[in-house]
Amino acid sequence: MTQSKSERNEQRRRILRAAAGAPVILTLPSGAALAANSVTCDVKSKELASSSNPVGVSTVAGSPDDFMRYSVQAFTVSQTEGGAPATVTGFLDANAGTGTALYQPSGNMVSVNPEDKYFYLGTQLYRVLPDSTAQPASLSGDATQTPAGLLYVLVDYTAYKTDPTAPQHTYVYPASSSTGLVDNPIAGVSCWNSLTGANLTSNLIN
Amino acid sequence: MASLGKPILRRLGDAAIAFDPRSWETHVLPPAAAVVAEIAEELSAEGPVSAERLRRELWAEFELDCDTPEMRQLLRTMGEIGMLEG
Repeated sequence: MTQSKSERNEQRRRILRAAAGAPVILTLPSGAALAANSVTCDVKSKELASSSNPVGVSTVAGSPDDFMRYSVQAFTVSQTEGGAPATVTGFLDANAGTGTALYQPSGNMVSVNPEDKYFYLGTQLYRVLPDSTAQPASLSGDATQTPAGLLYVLVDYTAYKTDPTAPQHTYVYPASSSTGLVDNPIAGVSCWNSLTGANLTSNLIN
Repeated sequence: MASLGKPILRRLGDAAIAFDPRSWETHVLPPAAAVVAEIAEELSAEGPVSAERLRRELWAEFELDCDTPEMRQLLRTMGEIGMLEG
């Protein structure tokens, strides 16, 4: 039912009289203040990165997101398998140094696909699968390495801070993009989950 | 649509809440304060509303004395959260 102006004003008068001259405004705590106390995980990662870079990786000079992604030397590998040359791409382990053989003859044959990517963390070689997950791998045969620009890896700073001496594969996530670019370069599993949970499948190693 | 900076007023029965998009603070207005804020909002349709303009309206229409400490505090608060000009 619509009130007339006079009815509305009479109702207002009653309310104002009942207030006995003490109208007040109460302010609730600001959500912004609560949010300010909860620093986002990417900010935390940046703080950690500024004080403690993981061994074996270096920041990308001038990159605005170098706190989240780290560059590693990429190279191509040529090897002869069954008489046919093939080329694979992998990460060069910085601790191994240029010229160190990426993989050792082990007798475990792996079918080499020129489209496959390999990376090397600690002493373990990994092969990137089509679904962007990775599995440990070993290759046989002689290999030669040819530098091929930079690739990028993500760093789980939470895991790294817990144990900086732990093997690299416990806190380093290689980029999953075929171009080597990182689509969602947020470090840390919990951080990644909270920000890009739908894209978690591109988080290769945990 | 409310412009950024001016609180958004919503009635809750006889009371009201005002959300300040500048500070993200929410203010609770008991019935008497809600009436005053509502009158200010109605006056704002004719242009910016100053505390003095609101004082005159409250006295003329409701014979409400705005020279009490409580009313001065209310008008000051309304000014601080952007419900009144100047």
